[in-house]
Amino acid sequence: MEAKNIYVPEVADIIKIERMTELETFYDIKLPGGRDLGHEPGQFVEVSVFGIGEAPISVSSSHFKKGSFEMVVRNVGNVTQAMQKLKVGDKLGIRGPFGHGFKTKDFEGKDIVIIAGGIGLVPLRSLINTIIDPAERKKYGRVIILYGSKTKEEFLFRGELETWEKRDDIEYHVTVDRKTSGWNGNVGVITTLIPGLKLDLHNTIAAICGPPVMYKFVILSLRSKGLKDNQLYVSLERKMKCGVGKCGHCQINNIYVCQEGPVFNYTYIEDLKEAI
Amino acid sequence: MSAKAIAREKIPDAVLLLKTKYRVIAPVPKGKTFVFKKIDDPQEIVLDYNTTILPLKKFFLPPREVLVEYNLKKQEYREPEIKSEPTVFFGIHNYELQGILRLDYAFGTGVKDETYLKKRKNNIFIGVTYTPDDFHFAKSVGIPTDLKEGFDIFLTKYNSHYRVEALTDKGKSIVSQWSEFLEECSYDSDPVVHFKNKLKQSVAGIREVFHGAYNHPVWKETSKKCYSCGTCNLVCPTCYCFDVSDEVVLGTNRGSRSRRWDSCQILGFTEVAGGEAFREKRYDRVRHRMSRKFAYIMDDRDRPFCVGCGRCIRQCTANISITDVMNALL
Repeated sequence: MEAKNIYVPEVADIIKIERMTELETFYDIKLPGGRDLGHEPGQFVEVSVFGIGEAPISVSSSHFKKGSFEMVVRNVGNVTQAMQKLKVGDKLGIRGPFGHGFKTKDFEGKDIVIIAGGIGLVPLRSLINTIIDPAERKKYGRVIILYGSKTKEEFLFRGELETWEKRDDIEYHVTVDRKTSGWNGNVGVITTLIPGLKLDLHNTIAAICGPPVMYKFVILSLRSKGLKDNQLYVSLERKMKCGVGKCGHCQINNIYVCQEGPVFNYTYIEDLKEAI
Repeated sequence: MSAKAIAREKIPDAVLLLKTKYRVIAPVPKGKTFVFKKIDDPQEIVLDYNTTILPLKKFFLPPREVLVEYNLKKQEYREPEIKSEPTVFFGIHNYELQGILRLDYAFGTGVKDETYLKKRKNNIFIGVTYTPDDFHFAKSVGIPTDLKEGFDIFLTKYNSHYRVEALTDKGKSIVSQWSEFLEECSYDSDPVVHFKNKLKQSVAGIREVFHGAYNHPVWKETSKKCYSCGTCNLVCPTCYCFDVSDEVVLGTNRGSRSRRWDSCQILGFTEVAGGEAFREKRYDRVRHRMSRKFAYIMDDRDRPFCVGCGRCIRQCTANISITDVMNALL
């Protein structure tokens, strides 16, 4: 049998598009025959736009969603800009899923703190929707979501944020860097939400994703709270050009993020000088 | 001891015979230096050469190659045809083939890269000994001049003739067809070879040298000279990082996605869409390349990805020497 070429994308259909903010757009993607992507929360795919190029994009839905998968794309590069012009029924190329995500089996019975800064919420939503799924929720302890955004205008998944706020089995805290009209909630960076948390230090894990500058401060704050390094999981952004551990762009010291990450237990990368 | 040998003047005839069945790639002069090239006239082959401008990787990982073809109208992606013409690589130094063996490891381990691996089929390698110049340091990285790993035939130079050793069945089959060009020769021992350029320490354990060397002053000192031009990456037999970009043929629906050689020395190499670059300082990038050669990546036999060809020293636009940098750490 001919070996499969790792660089050839599969052609998928866009079945839903929703503008979320000025920069971010939501896409629902159906693979041929409605086949499941088969990802774990936190993994990514390489998305191709015909004639433009390819970019690594986080999967934002949980694997419990059948028939299609979701992503949210910020318009910052060639591919993501070209995606803005696409319509329902248009086609994209998909390769993946790639790398390692969150191993939710390891989180069972534990309290889970999710710390999302900005579009860091996009990959973390796949974890959130996995653990708060009605059939799954009882497997885990407390679910605490901390979400930080520049302003309320940049909130993603607004309908879901409201649901999380209302649900008794989710502790949801949100802050904005800058108050805009109509905002009466917390103002301040995401680390300001951490000191007030009451955590069972022996039975808690934290999952962190946000802009590169955020990790150091969040980790410091969680450590001073008393969490150990092995209780922290980070999802790191890098330039994952090929997705298959060859092109070299995503390398952090000796680690290929596209192969061993993008989700890491913090102990795995804390000695890598280029990681955080 | 007695062995088969070929006189230098008979080599063009031997190559001519190879050309009836194979594409032959061999070193030829280009100005004051040398290049690997498809041979039309076997007289142009040189066997006494220091090294070529570019390594053999250009035949297996070309400077630009198509990974995927597509049609904008039909909206489909497909694999391009990947040719692997039966080829003899003639007159190859052993560090050169070691470079290919490292690439085999990189592209064949983990996720398999068929775009590369398909081109590694139908290859025959005929090696030749060389006299190290001021830059070669292959022996320091575990590649003495008599290492014949991977070769089908190996030629060891004695004055005006070459001892011919067939090392594989493919090699034996070729040597048997060469019988009219061969003569018996007797020899006592292999010629003695000296390397002027060397590492202070042999390669065993070299990876450990990088532990604790992250903030060594040599990185900043070296980076003060470096222009981040990326020449070292382009000429390196084991640098295989690549960039990927799409192109559409104007006025048509035909598009393709290609990979091109890239350089970890360039700031944009790690830059993500949001603008963050993760090896922002030039010394971060100098350190990254050296670490990749000697510590970050090793093959399955724990051998480093530097093969001691000396090209990055010979061709550095800023006179930076990888052996000087390493010796500062050792």
